[in-house]
Amino acid sequence: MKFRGNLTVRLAFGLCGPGGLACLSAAHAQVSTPAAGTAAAYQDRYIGGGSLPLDISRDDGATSDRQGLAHALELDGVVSALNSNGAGAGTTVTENGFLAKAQWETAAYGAWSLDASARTGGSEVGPAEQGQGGVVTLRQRGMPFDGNWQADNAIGDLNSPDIGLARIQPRFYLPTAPMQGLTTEWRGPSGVQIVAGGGVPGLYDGIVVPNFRTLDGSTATAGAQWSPASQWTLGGQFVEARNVNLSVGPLVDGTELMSSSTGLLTAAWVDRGTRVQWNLLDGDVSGKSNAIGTWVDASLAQGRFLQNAGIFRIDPNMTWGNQLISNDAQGGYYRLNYQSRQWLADVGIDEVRSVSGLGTNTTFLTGDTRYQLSRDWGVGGVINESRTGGGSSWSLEGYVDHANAVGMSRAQADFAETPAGQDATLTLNEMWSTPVGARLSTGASVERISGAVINGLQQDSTVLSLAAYGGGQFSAGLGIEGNVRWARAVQGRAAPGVSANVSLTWQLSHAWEILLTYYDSEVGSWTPLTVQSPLTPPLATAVPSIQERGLFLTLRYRRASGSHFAPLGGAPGAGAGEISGIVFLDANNNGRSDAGELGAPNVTVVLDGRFSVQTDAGGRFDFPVVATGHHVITVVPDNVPLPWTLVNEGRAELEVTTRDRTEINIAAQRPR
Amino acid sequence: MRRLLLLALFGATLSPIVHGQGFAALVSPPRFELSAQPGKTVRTVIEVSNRSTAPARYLIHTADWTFSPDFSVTFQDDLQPGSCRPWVAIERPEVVVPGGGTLRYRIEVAVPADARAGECRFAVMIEGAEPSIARSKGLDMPVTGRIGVIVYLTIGDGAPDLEVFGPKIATLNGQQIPTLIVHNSGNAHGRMTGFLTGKDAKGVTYDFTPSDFPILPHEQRDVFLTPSTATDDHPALTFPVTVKGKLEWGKQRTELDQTFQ
Repeated sequence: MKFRGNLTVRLAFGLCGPGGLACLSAAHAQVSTPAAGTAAAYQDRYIGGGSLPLDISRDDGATSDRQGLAHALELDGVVSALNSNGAGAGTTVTENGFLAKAQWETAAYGAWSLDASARTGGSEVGPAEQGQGGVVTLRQRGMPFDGNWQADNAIGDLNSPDIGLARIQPRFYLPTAPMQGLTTEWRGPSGVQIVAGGGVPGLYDGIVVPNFRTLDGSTATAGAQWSPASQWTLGGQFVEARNVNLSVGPLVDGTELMSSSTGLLTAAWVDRGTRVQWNLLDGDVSGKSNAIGTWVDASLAQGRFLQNAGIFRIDPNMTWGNQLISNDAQGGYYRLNYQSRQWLADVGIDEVRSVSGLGTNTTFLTGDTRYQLSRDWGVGGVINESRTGGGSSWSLEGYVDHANAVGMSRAQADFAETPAGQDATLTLNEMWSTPVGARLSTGASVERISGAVINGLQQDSTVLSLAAYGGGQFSAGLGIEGNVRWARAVQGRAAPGVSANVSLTWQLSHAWEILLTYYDSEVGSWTPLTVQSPLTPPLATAVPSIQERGLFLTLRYRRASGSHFAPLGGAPGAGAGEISGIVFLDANNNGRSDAGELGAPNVTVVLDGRFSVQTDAGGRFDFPVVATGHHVITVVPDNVPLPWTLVNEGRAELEVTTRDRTEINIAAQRPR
Repeated sequence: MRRLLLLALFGATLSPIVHGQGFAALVSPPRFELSAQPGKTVRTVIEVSNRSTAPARYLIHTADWTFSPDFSVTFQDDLQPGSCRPWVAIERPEVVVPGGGTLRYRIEVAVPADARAGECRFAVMIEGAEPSIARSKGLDMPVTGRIGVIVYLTIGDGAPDLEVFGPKIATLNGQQIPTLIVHNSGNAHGRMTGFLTGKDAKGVTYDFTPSDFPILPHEQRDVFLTPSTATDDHPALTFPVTVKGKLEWGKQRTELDQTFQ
């Protein structure tokens, strides 16, 4: 009997995780007899004699409509007052409009979702440009057909589809293209996947009300993959772009419309911990000579060790549709990773040579380790060195993590030396222990950049940065959520940088709420110096001359019907919990969402391959009513900015327990 | 073909579902670990979310609790000897939370100025006022949902003082597991953690994770050292097994180098 008791306890603790004893009691006592707890012999004391006013807020899941399968609707009306400063001239602009988000489950036609906005106002691409626009995306996932086939389809503003093998690229990325058009994906027996799509390429922009701006031209793609044997998958895809203007607006003098066509053949072999994938690209762009690219990636997992290696040769002028990819490169790479409960170690080398002889030849070495000294202390460091014909660059990072009474702290020091100058940074981050319903992370750093000339500007400065990220409820109806970063040169001529996205939420009733959002974006004129692999896509260059600042006022209506009794991914009557989280850019690669680390907006998060939501401006997402049990969250990497790549390919498996809230943070990190 | 047609039209259908009513409360956090000095008052909030679509009435009161040797928890409504519940004040005895609503329920503990260093432990019980119907094998049974939120409040310099005895081998989930007997001679609860590695008789290397059940003051409890490898969370050990590493609790730690046979 003792064995049985132990078994029961382990099960309960295992299910409840950090809930520990309380969850244990819940697991034992949620179903008890009516007599349980009804005779309270002890008379409790009450605060203020029991006269405290009730503090009750209403959730978006509230509804009196118990009918139907799960369906949810969210409508926003947004008005704003923004000031945009570009090239020294101040302009008052607006971003007004409506947003609609809806999801609904059908019995036989899969799960459907709608993301739509209609707006008038400016644009991040051209803030002073006023106009009408918006996005409309209608998605259907998991429509079943006979013969074990399923189909996903979408129309509107979306990303071009890639076959699964094209997405599994550890070093070379084949990015999908934002476009206005149609996509379809069919999955069948024997691992068959067929994708196709086409439309007008474009760009996402907008701050709170998303916008999609089309570029000239067209793009189309079709591909398929198939598993002829349990260990083999073969695939091919063709991508074409015709007469695409790579920038918004009229064609700039001296530039050309881009046309390209590229074909991909790929084959993967998987056997337990071993995986090998071969890829061949054949393409041409705007009449230039035909380009060939081929690379092989291999990985081998043995116990706590993981090895990755590859060789590659990609001719100059290689593109993937209208998207630029790594090209004019040949060489190889190797990574060795070791992971245990206390150790994390990673070493690697990249050897990259120019195919044309016109590019740079680079040898890149990297080492990364972390050791958990004890329950409360951990230390780690990263060293990178890049050797090129023009000189060598190196960087060193060291940090200490400490769990203490007030939260979780990290102290970090970074130093980089490149031909452009030196950069030394000291950073303190703290994730504070907070009362229930609140969270707070803060960060402070001092960065000294000397001798660097970036974008033609002398960056010789010392910059102080302060950041905060968090949120919580002031009262039942009033909450706050925000991320603020402020940076200013305390010495030198670097222009200041500020980013803020802070929302106050006032809940008017169970269905209605008002959000007041302060937004500020001012890109500092300095660029931190980093040393990274030549195979890593370059960081997007921020435009320091544009500053936007202002207020957004949002009136929101939410409605969820039938959801408790048919939770997302569950049968009618099943128990339900909640999944919420954030997709964020993990600048210090620690896996936690720290102050100053930005969320990734407009990224699609998919529950069980069926229900999708878009992250908001802060990168947050929420599935309020999810069936109890095992679920898979997948982040579609399409709108995650390069060079950020999702940890674990954006896939997370989790257990949702009844009446519990599962918070999941999905990190996108820059490869070392 | 009909589905394809519908796809082209991007229409959708909804089906009515029959449903029932039940206890559906989300309580956060599941437990508190607080600290206070004598003479101070600690205030905190429990969030109770009604996850049903209908209003729910909850009865809320404090209870004492015990943690039995078989790892089961027993709640006592009657005041137990040494209980600190007289220090505790809660917001109200019952509350109605509308469907989908979240209640922020306030509790406070006023620690007397002459309180000795140690630990105040109690539970806040949240109970559904109306029984719901559980259907099992054709039997309809009225049941009442109940969730207990455990509160540990360390007073002054209260701290665990764990002593490790053993070793012994226990059977858990059908597997033989190295086990330590741990006694807490301190005046606050402790939980054993640590990074342990070891080898079994076949020379296979494992990580071992101590079970983190609370060890209450003046109690003795088994701490299971659960093995794992990079590829197997539930390996079968061949004894004798040697385990080395650091055990930690509170601000204390000790080296372990122990053979289990």
